[in-house]
Amino acid sequence: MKLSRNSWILIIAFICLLLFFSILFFLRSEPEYCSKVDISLGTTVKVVVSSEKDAGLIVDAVLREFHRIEKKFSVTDSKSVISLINKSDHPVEVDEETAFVIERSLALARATEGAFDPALGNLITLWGFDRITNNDFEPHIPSDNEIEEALGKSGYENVLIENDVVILENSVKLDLGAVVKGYAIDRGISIVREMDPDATGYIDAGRDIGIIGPKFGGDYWSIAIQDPRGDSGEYIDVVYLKKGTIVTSGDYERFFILDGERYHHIINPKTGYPVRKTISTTVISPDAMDADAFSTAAFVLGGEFSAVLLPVLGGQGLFMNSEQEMSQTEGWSFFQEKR
Amino acid sequence: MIGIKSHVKCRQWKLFQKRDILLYLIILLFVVIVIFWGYPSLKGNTVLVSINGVVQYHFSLDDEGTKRIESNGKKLMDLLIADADMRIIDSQCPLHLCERGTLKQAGVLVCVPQEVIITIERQGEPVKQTDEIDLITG
Repeated sequence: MKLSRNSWILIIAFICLLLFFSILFFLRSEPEYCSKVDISLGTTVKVVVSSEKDAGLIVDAVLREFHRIEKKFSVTDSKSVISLINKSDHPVEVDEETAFVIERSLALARATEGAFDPALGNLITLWGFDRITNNDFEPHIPSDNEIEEALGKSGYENVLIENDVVILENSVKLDLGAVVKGYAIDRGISIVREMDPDATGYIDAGRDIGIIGPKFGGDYWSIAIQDPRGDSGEYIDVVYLKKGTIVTSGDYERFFILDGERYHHIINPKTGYPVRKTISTTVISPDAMDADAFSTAAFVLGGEFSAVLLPVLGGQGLFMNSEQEMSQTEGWSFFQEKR
Repeated sequence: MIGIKSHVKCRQWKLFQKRDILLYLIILLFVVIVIFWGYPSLKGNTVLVSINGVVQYHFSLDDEGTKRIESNGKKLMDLLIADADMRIIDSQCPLHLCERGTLKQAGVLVCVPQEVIITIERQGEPVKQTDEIDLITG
């Protein structure tokens, strides 16, 4: 077929255009993200990593770390270190990592004046929140006497640790469930950075999020905060992070409804009953373990007090009370814009 | 000037000469294919359902209807496939948190108590370079 001169010009122009866009496509060097989802620590764990090294290997290493931590710090696994400490009626010598996690938890309990308390094991078991995802879980409301008794066997002041030896007094039981997810996120981020300091991505453990590095190496991750009373996809705010962690505590994740009343898993260490005045708290902090503890503490303390306390401890927060009124720390607005 | 101009033979630009139509059609077809290639859709994707870390079921998102998920002869949940999307319905878990949202919204559906993970079969994670929401906390 003989083509006209104009057609030849068009063909050449088209090929040039195609070449131009092909070169652009290959030069943009947009990192591809390797992503895996698993179940650990009683929740969904999603690890998303982009690396010039083997991203799949890095993701697997992070997930293995989550499973290791779950096995070690679970309260329901009878062979875990925490179960061994809780069952023992004498001082228990623990490894360096366990000592660190317990000491850090106690420090966070002191910093929040006990609003976060890692020694509420008896209360949590009494309410059944440690078994709430089991298929045979049957909700019940403990009596006032039972709660009074469990309160007497609770409180971080009864946990002593010295030279890696843990002593539990007054029959208290440890439950690190409120911080161990955060600790696992922190460990996961450390592992990624050890394997590739330039890796980017994030770890999302049950919607507690730790940022490994900026999106595509330089951009912000847009993180929406779920409306605690809205449907999936309804948000109360959006923040932008390139680093750090963000954790939310809500009354809508682990709860049961009995006689029309909602009973959720965040227990007030002073009353022994689920907290009523707050329905959602979100905290941004450099470390996920701290964010986890601060979020729980803010839930117990309420927005007004937390708005003052959190920045002193190194966090920023957004709070919603039971009237669905929102409040926030002064520094929260910093994260509401890309800057 | 007028005299000179009258001697210049002006060639008219004819974009649609009869013999070139086939060429233009080929280019048009190519552009259409490229556009549809890049159009994001879950249609045609295979969904993997793993229970306790082992892939037990494969479904095509084109295969609309309700699928029953079982383990050891016991029903765990139903999956509803419609409009190239999927959601969990009638889960046997206590909290039913897995019934919130769809596969298209979340990218993955998980039932923690029954250790069921539902993902789309693909290698890379399509993180978009836009102002859309990347992650949700809470």
